[in-house]
Amino acid sequence: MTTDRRILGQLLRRNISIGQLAAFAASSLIGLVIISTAVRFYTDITAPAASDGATDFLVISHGVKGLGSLTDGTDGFSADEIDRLRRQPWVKRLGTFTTAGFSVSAGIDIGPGNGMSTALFLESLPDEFVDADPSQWHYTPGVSETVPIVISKDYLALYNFGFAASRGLPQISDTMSGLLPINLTVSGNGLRHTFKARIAGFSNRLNTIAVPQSFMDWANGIYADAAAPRTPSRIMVETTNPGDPAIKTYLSDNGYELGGDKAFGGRASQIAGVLTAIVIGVGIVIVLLSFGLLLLSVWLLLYKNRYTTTLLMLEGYSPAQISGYYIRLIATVNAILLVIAVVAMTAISRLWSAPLAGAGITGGSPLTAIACAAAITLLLTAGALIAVRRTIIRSFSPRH
Amino acid sequence: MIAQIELRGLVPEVFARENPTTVKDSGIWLSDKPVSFSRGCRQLIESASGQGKSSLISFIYGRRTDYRGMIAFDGTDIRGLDSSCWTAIRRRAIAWLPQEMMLFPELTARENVEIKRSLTGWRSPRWVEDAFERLGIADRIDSPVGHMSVGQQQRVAIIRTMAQPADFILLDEPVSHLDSQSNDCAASFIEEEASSTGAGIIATSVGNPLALDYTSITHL
Repeated sequence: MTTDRRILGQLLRRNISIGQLAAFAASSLIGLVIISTAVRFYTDITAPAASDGATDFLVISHGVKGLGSLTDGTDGFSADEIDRLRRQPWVKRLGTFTTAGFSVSAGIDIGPGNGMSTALFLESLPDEFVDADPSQWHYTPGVSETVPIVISKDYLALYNFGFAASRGLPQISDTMSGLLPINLTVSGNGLRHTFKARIAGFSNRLNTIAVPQSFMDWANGIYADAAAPRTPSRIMVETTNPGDPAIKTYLSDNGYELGGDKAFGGRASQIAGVLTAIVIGVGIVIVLLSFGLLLLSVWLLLYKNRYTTTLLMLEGYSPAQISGYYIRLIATVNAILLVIAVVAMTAISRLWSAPLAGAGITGGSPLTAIACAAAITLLLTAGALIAVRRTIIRSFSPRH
Repeated sequence: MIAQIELRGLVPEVFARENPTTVKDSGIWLSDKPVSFSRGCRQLIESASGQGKSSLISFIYGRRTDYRGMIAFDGTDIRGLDSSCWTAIRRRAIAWLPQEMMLFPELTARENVEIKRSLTGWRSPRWVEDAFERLGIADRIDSPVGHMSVGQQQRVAIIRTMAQPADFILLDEPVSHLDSQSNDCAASFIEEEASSTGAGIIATSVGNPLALDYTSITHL
């Protein structure tokens, strides 16, 4: 059988043009690298957004209208409004902010005699919307010694670069913030209590000072005025696609406002999406051209070798045996191209991984890009396989 | 296994269209009664050149289909056979030696035979060497076929044809370039191999037939 293979290969290998094969390989490789690199870039800049939530979470509120909302406190979302929002196709999950119905002040002791204290507000969200370490993010009334707090990263920046700098106070880093002893004094309904609190983290997603929902519910039950209406004034929505134009339409139709830079994130990912689509389109055109080149080369080769292939089939070789040789050749070349393309894509992705890391984006998984390149390679190989088989079958009996 | 090949009203398209007089006295073309060849036969088909001997062989081997009428293997019209049927037939049931021999000139004589032999494994490599010895071309076994004389090539083609199992062996002017001594040698080799399996032989000739004891001679 090995002699058979060797002689068969010797016959069928004739007229294979290295030039044509190289031209196909080069163009196919360029196309594959462009497509997989574009997909990798897109997944890199969008995937971390999904994990840290900056672009996939939207905070929605009613626009503040004049002074009215200051006095009557009824600018919250009704149950009906929340229900309608929940039914929108772009809404994956939805959580309402709970505001504290009591007074809060917080104090920090920075060494003996160096304390400071300030009036504060607190909000809470369902735990799954808070980007804090889940092991630290819990509170059980009467059991837990300290109340974990998550603060907007913007507030930390405001303190470090605004307040602390102008007052000559020490700056606080992310890591040392957890060590700050905070006293949280809560009062209302004629009661007053001081809790120990600790900063559990800084959030990009939450533009507030948040405590666990369990603490908020418990404290509201004791210190808040039970008669006061408390509808949520802000809603956090996790969306499937922040670039979805339907979101913008729905919000403006209902007079809702979107929290700050979240909209920008959506717009940026929309632009990135369009750019990626264009680049992928170019890559697909190149791949298609290279596929055309491959088909032409295959047809030319089979035409030049038709004496050999026809004679072999007259000798009793099956069309599958003949086409198998060419298919194995094409599949091998394509597999090598795929490996080179993945290596090239990985090398190129290093060019942007450092700048992106500087911007706080850690990069996504390369699997989607590799899967794309593999799928294209598979399609090309399957297309060539069909073309080779049909040509060989057609030449089986030329005068049929 | 194929026990019988039957031809009914067979005629090449080109004769039917352009040259009806050619087929007037033919024993096969447009014959009134079916022509049949049975397994084990020794059939010679003789004619002047241009009467369609190679066409007939090509029709039976499924290489060409430009004919009118019907060819049947054991009652099955061969027009209905697909490529996998033909592949099986060409490996197991019908061996073919084309007039133009159709060897691969860049391959050695041994490799040309090996192409066929390794496909079925019917014969051993040793059998091939013995056959070259017997037909007097053992010294050329590893020479490229392109460097060999036509007579030598004809003998290589005979060995290749016999290197597979068959119910029928189609030989299209197999010894046209051989002297009478080589003809006898080839004929006894072919006769021996064919009778060992009971295969029928259908040979054509323009005047230098393979030296067999024919059971039937037909003028085309």
